[in-house]
Amino acid sequence: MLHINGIDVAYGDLQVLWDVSLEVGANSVVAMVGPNGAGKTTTLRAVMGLLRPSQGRITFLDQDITKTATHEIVNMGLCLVPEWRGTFSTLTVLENLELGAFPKAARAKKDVSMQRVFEIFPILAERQSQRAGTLSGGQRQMLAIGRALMLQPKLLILDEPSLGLAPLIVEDIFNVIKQISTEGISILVVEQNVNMALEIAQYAYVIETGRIVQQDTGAKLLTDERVRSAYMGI
Amino acid sequence: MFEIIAQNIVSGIMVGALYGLAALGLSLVFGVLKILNVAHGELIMLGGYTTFWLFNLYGLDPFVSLLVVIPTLFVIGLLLHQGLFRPVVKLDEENRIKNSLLIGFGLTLVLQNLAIQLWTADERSVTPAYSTAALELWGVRLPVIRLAGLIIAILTVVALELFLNRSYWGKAVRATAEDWQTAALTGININMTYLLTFGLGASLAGIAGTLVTVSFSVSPFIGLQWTLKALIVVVLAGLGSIGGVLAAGILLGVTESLSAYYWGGEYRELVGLIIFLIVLSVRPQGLFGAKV
Repeated sequence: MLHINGIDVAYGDLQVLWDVSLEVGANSVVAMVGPNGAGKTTTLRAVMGLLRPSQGRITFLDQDITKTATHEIVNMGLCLVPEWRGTFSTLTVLENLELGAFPKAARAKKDVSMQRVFEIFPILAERQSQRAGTLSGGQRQMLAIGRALMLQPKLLILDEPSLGLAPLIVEDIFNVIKQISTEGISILVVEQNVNMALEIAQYAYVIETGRIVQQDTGAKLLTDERVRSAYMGI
Repeated sequence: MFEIIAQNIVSGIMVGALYGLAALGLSLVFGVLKILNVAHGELIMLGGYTTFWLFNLYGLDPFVSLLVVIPTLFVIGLLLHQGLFRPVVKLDEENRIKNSLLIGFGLTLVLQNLAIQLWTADERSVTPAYSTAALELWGVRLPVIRLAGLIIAILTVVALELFLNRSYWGKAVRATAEDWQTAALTGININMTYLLTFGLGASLAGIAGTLVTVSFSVSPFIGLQWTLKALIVVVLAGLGSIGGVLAAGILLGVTESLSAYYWGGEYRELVGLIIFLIVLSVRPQGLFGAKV
């Protein structure tokens, strides 16, 4: 579904990604883990067209999206819930969700999608007329995921969904991610919370200082010596 | 005594509505594109000349001419954005401001000289049959033209609020203003929102231009003074409140009018600038702006 083929990315003269390749198949959950500053978010920005790679190619559903505009990539069904949550704090919860269905195709299915989002996150239905800026961190993350679901994505990318959230909320969020993945939406999750991410991922990549250094099934990496000592402190 | 003060307040409100209207487009473009278009006053001038031409050549009523001015300035706005400001919007925020200032000043000179070529440097005014008509209410004179200007300013604010709050594209504009990256990730074509916003900003300048021309006059050199007034109003109002821009404009108009009455006409501009400085130092987010 998503193929990243050997991309290099630089911010000005500073190169931060070297020859990164990654693949997400249909109906799968893939994780990318690694320490802070390894290039996880940069990879995602390149996928979404917010940054342009200097080398390499990115394809989604067999179409080259390396130079495609962000909103067109989104229209194809590839959505990112960014690390900064991606909600509009001056807009209400309802307006955020409505705006989530901005592309024409999604707009036609707005009511059905909204119903579904409220089923998954009942708290959003309760808070629908509140401004997003007044929500708690966990509720904001739910709104961000809900907003992305309004687009009826084929592949949902989540950047650090657990960042800054209490352990109980993190568990809720990961349960929702698991649930979404059973509904025909592929997931690419990027996490520093390595344990959580590897548990739900069928396949995972480890990225360090801008390079993919290891890749295997989630289960295998969970028991891998190097991964355990580097990321789980065991 | 009371009547004179009331007259000054009412005149201030009517002139202030024009200040607010002149600032509306500048505020919208600044809030969404994060660029400062110092040639905004020249767009006001172009709106004014459009009305002048339509009145002089075809005898079209200045208020009816708005129906031509609005789309004409919209198209001019689209062309200016595509040709000049589009590359600037791709820069980071600090460089957007700097580069837009340079481009704006250049544009100011070009448009001024173009206007001198097209319409000569003379001051022009538009004088329909009712240009001196006035209503009287409890001893307060309400010139029909200024009153109509006030009503149009209010209608414009209401229309803009409705567009921004109710329509999909309006919400897209608000979303882009808050966070363009998240807006793009939501599937919003942000280049389109920028283009649309710049066009709207130019249309709003056009409306202001028409009203300025029927209320006062138009010449190739009115741009700078209106850009400055608009800037003062934008700072007074703060970003993010459309109604606040009109209110701040009216506040400035009334203050100017009263200080001119109490201390003399030469203090008119000064008092406005003093308020500007006070607000800037005490409440930098503006009177109606959201706290950052």
